[in-house]
Amino acid sequence: MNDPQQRPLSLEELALEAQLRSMAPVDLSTDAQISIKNRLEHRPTSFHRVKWAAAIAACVLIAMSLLILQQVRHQQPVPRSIQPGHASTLSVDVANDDKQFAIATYSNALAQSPASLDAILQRQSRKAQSDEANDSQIPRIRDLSIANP
Amino acid sequence: MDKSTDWKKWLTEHGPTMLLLVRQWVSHRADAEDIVQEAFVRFWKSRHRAADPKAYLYVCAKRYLLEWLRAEQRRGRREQDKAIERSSISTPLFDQVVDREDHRRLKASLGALPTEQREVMILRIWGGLSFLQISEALAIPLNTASSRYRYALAALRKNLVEESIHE
Repeated sequence: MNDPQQRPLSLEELALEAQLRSMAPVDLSTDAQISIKNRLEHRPTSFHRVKWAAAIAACVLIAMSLLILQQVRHQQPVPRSIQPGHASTLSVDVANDDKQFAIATYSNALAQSPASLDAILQRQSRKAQSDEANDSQIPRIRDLSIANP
Repeated sequence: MDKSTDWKKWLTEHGPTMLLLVRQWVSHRADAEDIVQEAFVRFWKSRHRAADPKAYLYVCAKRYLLEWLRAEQRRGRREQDKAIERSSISTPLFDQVVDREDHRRLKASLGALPTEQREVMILRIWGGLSFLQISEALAIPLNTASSRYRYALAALRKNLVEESIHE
């Protein structure tokens, strides 16, 4: 079998090789060479290192503050719930419709923040106290009867 | 141990051959240059792992070329490339400073060779690789590399003789 791999190169083939070698393949463009240079010789500067360190520190700080905030929220007391018709919740007598309205107001306030609910409750409490004080200033019938027998 | 700037020597020596090899598969020069660029950077960063850096350079080139072709196929551009692959040999692959008639005929004959024979020829003639290195770079048996080269030379000679007879 005439296997071309087994025989040595002929003179013509050697000449052909030499002819092929005399042709030079085109070189890479300057842009490509510059791009390779940039990719291989680029070293991170101290500015880049500082920038990265600052970015990482910021991320850590944000993560820690979120964690602390979450823990604080868990430690806060459970906000007071408002049950319709509960005697201690409302210090003033209100009609049924008014009661529903008041409950809705409290629920909205609670949804906003516990602080706003507290503010409303305190306002109610102050109002109730001032009403009581006004009531106490009105002379009682018994007192009147003593004064005017 | 390689110095950090030795890459220039490697690129000067092998860049044109890498480009020629890649352009057997990729018709657009800009795409081919991108592939060479990426393959060369990958080679340079991992060259310490290779027992034979010269063969490994072309392993990187071929490997990244195949990756790129697969990605292109997914993008549906491969068919378009196939259509113009045959005509790619007409775009300048060699320096045309000396535009000789025998060079023109050689280039045409080279373009008519099967791609697998052309690859071996490029690595042998312009890359200066041994058959062992070629077999490693193209992941083919040593005998296959050697015989492809012989068949390529024989085919080239035959083409050139036929052309001279026609003239």
